[in-house]
Amino acid sequence: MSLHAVERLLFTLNRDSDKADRFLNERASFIDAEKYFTDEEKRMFTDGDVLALYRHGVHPLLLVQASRFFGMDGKQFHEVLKPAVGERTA
Amino acid sequence: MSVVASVCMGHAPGMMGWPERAPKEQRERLFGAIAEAGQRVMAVEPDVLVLATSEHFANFFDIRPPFYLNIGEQSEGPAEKWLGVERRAVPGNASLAERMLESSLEKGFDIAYGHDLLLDHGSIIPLELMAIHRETPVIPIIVNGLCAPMPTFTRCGEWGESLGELLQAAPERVALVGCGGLSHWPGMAEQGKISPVWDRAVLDGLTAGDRSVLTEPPETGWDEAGPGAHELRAWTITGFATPPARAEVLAYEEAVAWGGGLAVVDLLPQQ
Repeated sequence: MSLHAVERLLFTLNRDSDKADRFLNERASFIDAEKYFTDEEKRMFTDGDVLALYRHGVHPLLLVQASRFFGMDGKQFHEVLKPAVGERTA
Repeated sequence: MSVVASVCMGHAPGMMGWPERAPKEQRERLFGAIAEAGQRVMAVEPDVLVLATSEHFANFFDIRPPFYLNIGEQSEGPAEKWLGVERRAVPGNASLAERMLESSLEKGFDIAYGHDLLLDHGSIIPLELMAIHRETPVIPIIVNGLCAPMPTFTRCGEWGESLGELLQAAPERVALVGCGGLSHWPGMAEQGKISPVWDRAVLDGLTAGDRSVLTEPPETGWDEAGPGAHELRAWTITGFATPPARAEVLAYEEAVAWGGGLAVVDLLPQQ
């Protein structure tokens, strides 16, 4: 259930500019209010740990679409994911 | 009339979002081929375009229909500001779309449908780069090539064939466009990986008039083709809605800078 909640938040950030602003400006309190997130999932968001989110199984397209919310451009995103080459299947 | 044109191509976001990153010669070859495809489509004066592409979370999240047909008077796009084109209304053709829906249901294809659809790069890139006239009505089809489980390629072909039977007998002049693929790994750690072997096998099959490559994707290189290759389903629907013919490949590029193998194919070249 919680992976779906994680993906839902990423989907929402890409569509809802008010929530996106809140995420960018008050990330810790915003994430703390996510009742379906595990503590580790909250940490991934709070720390902006994109590699951990990827390894957690988040859909890669949702993740790359949301990379700007973690302060990354496309090049930085793919640099962060390099240690995970070969870990997920097509 | 009937199906008067049929084109398949890729829709890598970089083609419009960051075109300058690809080598100039490669860009010119690919964009030239897309322009040629667009000229061929507009030259046969279609009354309507039926445009099949894959979902990218622009519309569907909790509910993920295998197949979606937009029957509204219009759709809207692009979803993405970074494509660099103003969001606009794209006219539809509700009359033909409703006939497509009714025919599909009667033949046992229980597809999803709706009146509002947000078009993303999967639809806007072919419309813009092929310079499809903005007054040309577009009936969008979205196939789930994004999240497993997905509709089988066989089922995509069956639905495409069913649509083709209706469209061949329709009074409208219909142009088909299938958009997606070929090999690519969007958002994956392997982003940028391409399988030209798999891509070429698909294209070789089409040029030989063998549509089975769209329902039974080539085994060689399939593991290397990446999750983005599942977008081939849009080609499958389009290919099976098109009268059988030997296709003409207008371009194929290993577009590393845009992260994929990109092709432009005329499925119904004029003899």
